Amino acid sequence: MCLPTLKDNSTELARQREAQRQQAIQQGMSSIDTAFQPFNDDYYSGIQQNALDFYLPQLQDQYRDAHKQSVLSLARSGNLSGSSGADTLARLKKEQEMARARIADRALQYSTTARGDVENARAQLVSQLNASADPSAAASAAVARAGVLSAPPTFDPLGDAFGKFTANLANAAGAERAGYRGLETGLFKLPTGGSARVVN
Amino acid sequence: MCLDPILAAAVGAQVVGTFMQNKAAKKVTSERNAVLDAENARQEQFRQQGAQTFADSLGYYQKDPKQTTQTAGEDRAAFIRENAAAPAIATPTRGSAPAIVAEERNRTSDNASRDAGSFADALGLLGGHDAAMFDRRVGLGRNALDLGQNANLAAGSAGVVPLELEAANRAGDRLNGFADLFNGAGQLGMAYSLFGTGPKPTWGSLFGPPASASFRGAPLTAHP
Repeated sequence: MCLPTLKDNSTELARQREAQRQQAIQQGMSSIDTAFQPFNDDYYSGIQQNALDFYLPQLQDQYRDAHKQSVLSLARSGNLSGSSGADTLARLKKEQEMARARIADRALQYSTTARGDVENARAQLVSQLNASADPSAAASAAVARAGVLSAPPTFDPLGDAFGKFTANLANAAGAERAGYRGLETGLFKLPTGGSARVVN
Repeated sequence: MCLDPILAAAVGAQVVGTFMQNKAAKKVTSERNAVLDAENARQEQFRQQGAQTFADSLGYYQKDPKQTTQTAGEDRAAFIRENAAAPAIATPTRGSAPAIVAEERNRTSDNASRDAGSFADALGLLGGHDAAMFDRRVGLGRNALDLGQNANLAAGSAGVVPLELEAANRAGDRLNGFADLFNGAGQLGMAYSLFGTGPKPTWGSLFGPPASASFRGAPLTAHP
């Protein structure tokens, strides 16, 4: 008489399940890598360019206005063709180029921040994948996260880059008008004979 | 002297039982070794992958930090300088202005651009350390994830080993079962042979014509 034999294959099943889990994790990793493929050097260069395209035209407009004000002010004082005028315009140009340099630095910071955000998101997804070993959930989460990261970043507005410079120019004219050295043009000085004095 | 066949069979059964027990123990050892060897091979693969990743992480700090910072700073400086250069805006001059006016203006303008360029370079180099560190952090972060995942896979694989060892321990069960049967039969036979009462059977009585008397004890007689 043959007794039915019960074969215990729980060990094979456990090893098989572990192999499936490891394969699932590897599949999930490929899904994450695929979803994050668009976040390459071109993408971060694009963020830099977006920042430059946003800030530099604003700065150029401000510079044009400040330049115009300076030229008018220097022309009024007769210093436009003098070395004082050349110095003033050169200082304005230096201010502008330094402001452009700071904007370029800010553009680099934006791309660095974006890259950090992307890396953090990827790290979170990988952790979730390791914990869940569910490639389909990891793939959909990766696509969703990548979509959120692709949203355009918000840029802070550009402040008044040359306000200090033009204010100084106006103050100098005012100072001269009030009897101080100012721009030393002599144009804004009041007649010294009277007792009247304009207070700004 | 003639050997008692029951005793001989009992000893034989015990020898076979012991042999089978030994074989079962060897089978268990062999199965356990196979499980451990396979797991060691898997763990070695994980260990090698981990060592490779760690070596890659260490590589970030084996480069000259001064050079790394300088290179990152120069890359930044080049980008900043390129974008700092501004398009010129024409400044009106009187028609009668001497050439020296234009020369002076160009000279001061060039000086301003040179100063701004130096500022751009300094700003770029200033961020060199942070940029280099950021690149390192990104690389190290990715490697840390890889190492974590590697450890996860290694732990998962090792987690199955106790089950496999348990199964390996059961690999000799069948042989042990037969060994127990033989040993038990041997012990019974030995007890019967050594401590039984009545005449001991001979080889002839085992294989010869049927005895008229009972195998052991008193002859069969009709009860009065």
